[in-house]
Amino acid sequence: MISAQGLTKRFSTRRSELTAVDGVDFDIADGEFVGYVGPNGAGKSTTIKMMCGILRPTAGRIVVDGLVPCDDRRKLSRRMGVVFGQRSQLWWDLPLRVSFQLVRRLYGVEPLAFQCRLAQLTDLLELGPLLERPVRALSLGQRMRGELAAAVLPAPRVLFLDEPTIGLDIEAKAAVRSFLAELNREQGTTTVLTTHDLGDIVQLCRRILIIDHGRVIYDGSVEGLREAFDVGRGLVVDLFQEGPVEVEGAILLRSEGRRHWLQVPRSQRTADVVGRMLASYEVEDLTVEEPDIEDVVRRIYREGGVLGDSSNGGS
Amino acid sequence: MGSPYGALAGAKLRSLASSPRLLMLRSAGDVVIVAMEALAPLLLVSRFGSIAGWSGPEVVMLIGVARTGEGLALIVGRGIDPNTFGDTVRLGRFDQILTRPVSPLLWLLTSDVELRFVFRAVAGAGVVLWSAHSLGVLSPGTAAVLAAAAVSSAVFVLSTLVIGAAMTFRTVEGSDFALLLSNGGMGLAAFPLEVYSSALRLIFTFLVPVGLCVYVPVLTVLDRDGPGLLGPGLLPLLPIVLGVFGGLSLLAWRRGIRHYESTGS
Repeated sequence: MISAQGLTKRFSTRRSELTAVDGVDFDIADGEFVGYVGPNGAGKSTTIKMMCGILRPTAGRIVVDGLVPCDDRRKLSRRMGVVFGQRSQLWWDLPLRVSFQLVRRLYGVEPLAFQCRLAQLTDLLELGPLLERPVRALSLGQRMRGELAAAVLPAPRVLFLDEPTIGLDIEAKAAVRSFLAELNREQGTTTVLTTHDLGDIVQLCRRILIIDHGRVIYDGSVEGLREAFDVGRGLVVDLFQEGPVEVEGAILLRSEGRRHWLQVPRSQRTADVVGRMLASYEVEDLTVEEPDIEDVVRRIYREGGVLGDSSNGGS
Repeated sequence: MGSPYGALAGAKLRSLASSPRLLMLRSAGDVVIVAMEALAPLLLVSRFGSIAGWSGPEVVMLIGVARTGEGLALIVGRGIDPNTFGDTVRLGRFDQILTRPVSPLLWLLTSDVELRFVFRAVAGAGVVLWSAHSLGVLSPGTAAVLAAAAVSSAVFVLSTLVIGAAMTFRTVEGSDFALLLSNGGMGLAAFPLEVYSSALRLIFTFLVPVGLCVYVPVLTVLDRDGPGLLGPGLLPLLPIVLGVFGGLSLLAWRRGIRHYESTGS
């Protein structure tokens, strides 16, 4: 569905040159749900813009659904939906329903198909009470539901989402996520999502691409990420007495009074470490924690990790 | 209308209808400005006798044609007006237009139609009719030439706006140049070209063809010759020169889009 080879974008001004995307390679199959993440300025939005045909690559090649985006921009735009979380695609002063009607006209959706699809989306996204309200009178969460509906009304084959959950409260985030998951599952819409909210990634994406300084530094499954970066499990122990803690096979991260946080690398068996812990100290309470994906990604950003569980890892 | 562009224009008109008082106020402002502008040469001529050999109503005809054309152009041209379009690019709205299955230029022209400029065009047309009537030159033939002149002026203004918008892709401030061309050009056209040097006259007739759009048709209607080459005989050149100017502006636009670099997220 999407294929990037050596995809590069350089922005040059009179004084300086900035390489925003630096030789990125990836292939996204039909029906995949891919998270595209990285710190601010890593090149996420620039890549998305090249995939949508907004920007022309400086070098390399991008093909989306058999089309070269910036050469076949209008043809591709009939097959793709785009949501920019920070910008509205809707008509601000007009009722939400009118935006949908305009989308129908712009994309030439048949009236009957439109009615059917709108009814479906209204139901899924609970838009019923919002349809007659002007877009400017909607809350951010309501508006985002409207944006999603507008983006998928023409039944796109591929969906690009740039920070769709930014600024939303928990409930609105959950609504957006369950809608996206359903769309991908039921209709096989290929979806590429950029986000800073790793909750989005964990709940939605089977595959994650991490980009930093314009290069892909990880391409693989979300689970694979934990192993690839060998974060290991966490141990939190409460002892009866204060004092230093030292256990073979674990690294002490920090201590606060009688509570200690340790890390057990994947090379160690957690059960052995716990056994040694219980043998050497009087333990009041002990918990084992799976590494949080957010911690993993945070660490990758910080250290600029160079790993991956598939061919695209190294850079 | 079957096209999506009609729907876009309709949507903008619907939003405008939500603040009718603002629309009326601005429209009235436009009519007053055109009327005052038409009065100025009459006052000047009553004091100095003529402007470069032109009578008051004759100069008023130039002003009327220029303002009618400008009004017609701005009805659809606001979306590519340097100020508006600069914001469109800076705020990333142009990115979104590029994700739609439409021509970006037609989107911009139709989605920001501005009704108040209908009133400017009507006021301009009124001024032209008054001058033609008071000069006793009103006939079906001259009316056709004047209408063609107004439409040509509209095409000229739109072309300069397109050039300015194309320059906005490179430097967000570059469009000041287009303002200079369109506003400056139309301001210039509101006076008989006799008042300018011969070099300026040539530039503003053949290179930036505002003189060909306004001055030459008015010469034709008044059946008089201008200085140097200028005269009714040039009228057949109007569609050719204007066509080239408009074509070049579209080329600049296409080049501009190719070099469009978007803005940060």
